[in-house]
Amino acid sequence: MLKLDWNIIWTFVNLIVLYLLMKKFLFGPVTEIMEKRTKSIEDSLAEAKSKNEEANQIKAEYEVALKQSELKAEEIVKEARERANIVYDKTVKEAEEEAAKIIANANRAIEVEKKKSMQDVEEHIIDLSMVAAAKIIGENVNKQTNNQIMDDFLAEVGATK
Amino acid sequence: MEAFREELLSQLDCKISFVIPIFGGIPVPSSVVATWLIMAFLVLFSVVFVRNLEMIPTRMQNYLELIVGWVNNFFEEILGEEGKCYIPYLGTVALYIACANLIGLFGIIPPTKDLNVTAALSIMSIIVIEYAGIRAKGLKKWVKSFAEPIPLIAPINILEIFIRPLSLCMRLFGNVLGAFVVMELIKICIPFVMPVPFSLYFDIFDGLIQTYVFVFLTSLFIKEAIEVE
Repeated sequence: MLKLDWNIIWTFVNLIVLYLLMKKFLFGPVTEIMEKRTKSIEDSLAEAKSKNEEANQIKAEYEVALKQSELKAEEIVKEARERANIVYDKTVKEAEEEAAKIIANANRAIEVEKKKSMQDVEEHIIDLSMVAAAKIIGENVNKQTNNQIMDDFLAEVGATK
Repeated sequence: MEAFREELLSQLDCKISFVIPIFGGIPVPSSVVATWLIMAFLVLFSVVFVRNLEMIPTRMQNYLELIVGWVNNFFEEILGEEGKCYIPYLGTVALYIACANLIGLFGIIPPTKDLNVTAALSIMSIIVIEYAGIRAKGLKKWVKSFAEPIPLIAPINILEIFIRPLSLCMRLFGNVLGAFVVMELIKICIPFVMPVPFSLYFDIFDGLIQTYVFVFLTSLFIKEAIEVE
């Protein structure tokens, strides 16, 4: 039962052989593939992280570019509006000026016409009054005196008006 | 009663299976034949299932990695990064002792019932332990480490070289022998049903616990040996 003898050598040999076989066929390959997998997962994660960072960076760049272009577009629109306003103002002003000029011309023409009409009327009145006066007086005073009288009369009338 | 005693004693003897007829006949004990069976089983199992491993594991590879991963983690936790190279040996011993203790379920006498086997296992353990110590510390420091923490206890430290394998050997042998004797008694007395729960305890539970204890203590001693202050 409790017997220690040379048979112990069998177990030494068996154990060493088994160790070498197990290392070659079980622990070696399985541990290797597990480590390989761990490494590949780590690599993938690192790669994903770097890709993510890169993407974020690109996104930030794009955002900056987008903002810049927005600002630029706004500026362009503003400038265009300003220019349009200037053109509009100028055009309106010109038109107003033109209109004012036309109105002024018209007014002047009216004024001239009016004056002319007045003068005509005056002359007619003078003639009429001359005729009337001649009729009344019955005699024709010389023309110069007549005119003098008429002017006085008209001045009187104008003064009373 | 006398026959019963005879039967039990004959069961306890380590029989010689056959004799290799060279050099005047080399006897092969039954424990060695059982060991060969276990080796054949383990190697065949490994060769069949470890073939074409893939990065994305399928079916059997999952279980295989579960076992190997568990063994690796268990020893790595004790040994740390420096002791990684001893994991395959400890794993081999763990698998061998586990199979040796469980082989009783198949009606084969467990090889660990043979004192030669457990003695060889524990002598191998102490060789690995001291080798690990020498490799980690260097020969000079290793010799010096016997006088630590104080030179007074150097004899005790040297005694430990013999006590450790002796305790490892006897613990495993005693447990397996005890379990074997109790199981034989139960089988002789009540051969129906009764052996089942006892077999569950003695063959499976105790067998695995002893495996665990053996490799756990060995790895603990290795860790102690490779620790550099």
